[in-house]
Amino acid sequence: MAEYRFDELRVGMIAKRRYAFSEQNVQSFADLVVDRSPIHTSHDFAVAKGYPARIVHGLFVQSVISGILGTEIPGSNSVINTISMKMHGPVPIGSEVSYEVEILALTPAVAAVSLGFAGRIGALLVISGKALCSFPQPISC
Amino acid sequence: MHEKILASLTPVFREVFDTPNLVLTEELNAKDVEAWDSLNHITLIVEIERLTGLTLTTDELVELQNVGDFARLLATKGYRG
Repeated sequence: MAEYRFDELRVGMIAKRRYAFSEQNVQSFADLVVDRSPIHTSHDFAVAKGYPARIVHGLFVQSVISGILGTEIPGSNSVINTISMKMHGPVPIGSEVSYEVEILALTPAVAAVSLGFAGRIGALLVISGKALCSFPQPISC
Repeated sequence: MHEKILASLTPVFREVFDTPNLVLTEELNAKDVEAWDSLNHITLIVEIERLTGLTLTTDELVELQNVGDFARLLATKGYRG
């Protein structure tokens, strides 16, 4: 668990993580968010739509980024202000995605960190996006 | 007085606060915009730095009372809109 202070962060810092989307954890996600769309839960339906297998929820694919932001860079002292993503391709269940998050800019005036992220299956880009995190300051009164 | 700066800032404020019809005036402040909370304020500063290419400081920001002050600060730092 990284506990960086804002002034310890630098542009270009990178964090990496690999995540395997198993049948079981995709089913858990489907139950948790109550999204049992057949593209995620029915092999026959997914194949009929042209996919090799059921595909992982896009927001599940993105959610791994939340863990990297909150525990690696910027780390546990930060919160997410905004996050945006683009899905570039399906993530079939059983895939392992390699994630990379990089600090793109720092805004000291408001202790904000701009980051870019990408996820790949092998060399194939499946997700990319940007996030803005900040370091909440104690409110004095 | 800073119409050109206000015009260039308007799309940023509208996007950050998700308020497409927001009209920037020099008197406008955070109390006038429902979505102008602490998190969106951070996003606003980041986007304004990105737009202007300027680096702002905490000491400069705490002095600001309204959008007019913001425009004047940007002008003193060389931004012309």
